[in-house]
Amino acid sequence: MKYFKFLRFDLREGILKKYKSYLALACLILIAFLDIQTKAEAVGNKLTLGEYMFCIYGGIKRYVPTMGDPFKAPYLWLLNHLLILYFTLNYTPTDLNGFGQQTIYRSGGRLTWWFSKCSWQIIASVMYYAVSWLCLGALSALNGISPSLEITPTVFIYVPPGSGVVPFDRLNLASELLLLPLLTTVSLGMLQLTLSIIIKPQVAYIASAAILIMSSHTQSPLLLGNYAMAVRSDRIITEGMNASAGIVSMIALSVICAALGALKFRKYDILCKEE
Amino acid sequence: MAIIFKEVTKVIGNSVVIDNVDIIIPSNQITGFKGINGSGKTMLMRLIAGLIYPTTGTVSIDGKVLGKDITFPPSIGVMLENPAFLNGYTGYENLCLLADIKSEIDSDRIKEVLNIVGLTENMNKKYRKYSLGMKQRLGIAAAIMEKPDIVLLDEPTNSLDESGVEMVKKIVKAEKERGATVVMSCHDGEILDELADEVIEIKNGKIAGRYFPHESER
Repeated sequence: MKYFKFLRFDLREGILKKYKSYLALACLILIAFLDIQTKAEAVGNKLTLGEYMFCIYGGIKRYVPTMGDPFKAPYLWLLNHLLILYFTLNYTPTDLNGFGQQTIYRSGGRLTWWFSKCSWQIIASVMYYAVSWLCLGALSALNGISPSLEITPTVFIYVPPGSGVVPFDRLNLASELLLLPLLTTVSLGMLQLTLSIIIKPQVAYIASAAILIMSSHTQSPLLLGNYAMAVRSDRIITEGMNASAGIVSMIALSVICAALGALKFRKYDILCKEE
Repeated sequence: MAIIFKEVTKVIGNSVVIDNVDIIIPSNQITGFKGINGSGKTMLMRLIAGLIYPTTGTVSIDGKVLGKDITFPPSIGVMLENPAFLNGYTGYENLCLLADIKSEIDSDRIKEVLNIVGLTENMNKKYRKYSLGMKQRLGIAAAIMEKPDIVLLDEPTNSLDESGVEMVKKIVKAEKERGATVVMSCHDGEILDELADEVIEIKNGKIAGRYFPHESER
């Protein structure tokens, strides 16, 4: 019962009251959409909603170091994840240093508070994606864009896949474009949440950012960001990442982080910042 | 509710903030912690509240060891130094949010306690507009509103004017009369000597002395 009271509080304070951050993300999506639309219209291409999403959440082709082909970071892809992780970085530590100190002892248990924060982290990430998707859906409807999540090889003009492309005419990438980017943000958010109480929020954010940047540079199943790049999916390239493996890895990471955080938080010193 | 510290040491980072402390705080007594800033008073408060646990030794509440048998004392009200509330809510709303967790008291009791601390006129003002003294009063209200068995007040007279200090004295006496075990810290020895049944002096995380200010009256 107390868990639901905490969760209700977290949803109100950590989501509803943070509406400005949702607007900021919607602005990013709007700018990205207009940029892609301008480029597509310049060459007379009509992209589907799925192809717009591919340009935003697709990431970047596997990087193979070669002369004259320097590494280019997938700025839009990175920005989407980093913004959401940044927006969810300080809520929990701030609560623990402030008002949370008055609520936690009233609850009678530490884990109620912790699992409420884990739930909030997941729900907040889902809400950020929901806002992005709603924004993209609305922009597509307003511009007469097909709501299909299918992509055609035309989209590779904007997000080149590199070598070893699996031939296809049309491909529905619903899980790669919707589920995997969301799960990546959720699992890195859970990692960040746990690290922020074990070490420091700033260190936790740097760790999440490092994983994302390293993922864009190096294709490896150990770097979870790879699963969030649709252009590196095994449905697009022959030596690509498998969606099912990504889903299992990310759920496992989230569960491990929640469990480790719970273990740590049972004996955690709840102090003020100055202490 | 009796509180017993048994050979308690607390290390945070590389510093020993509480050093092998033994304290017995009897039930329904006012106990004062006296010491300069950084002496360890607030850490002792946090140990009683269950917000931190000893590195070695035990803190027990009515025989139940914190961090082992119980996570937090079952009935406690805490006002730590510089209490934190939500800026976007009024004083009344902040207390309602806290009261909602245990659901033990109603809005009438919240209004009553706001009246006790002298905040009735400002109860509908946003917390961000509160003066330091008003914030302190709200912190005290939060600590006593649920009529807990243990009341912890860390520097309750900070930022308060003379009338505020008198209000604190009245509240502390009333809490004892109600049957609560009151633990308060203060750097002002006079206030402690007036209110406390026992004063424990803390220096560098150790007990530097203890006395009973009203012993001669017994």
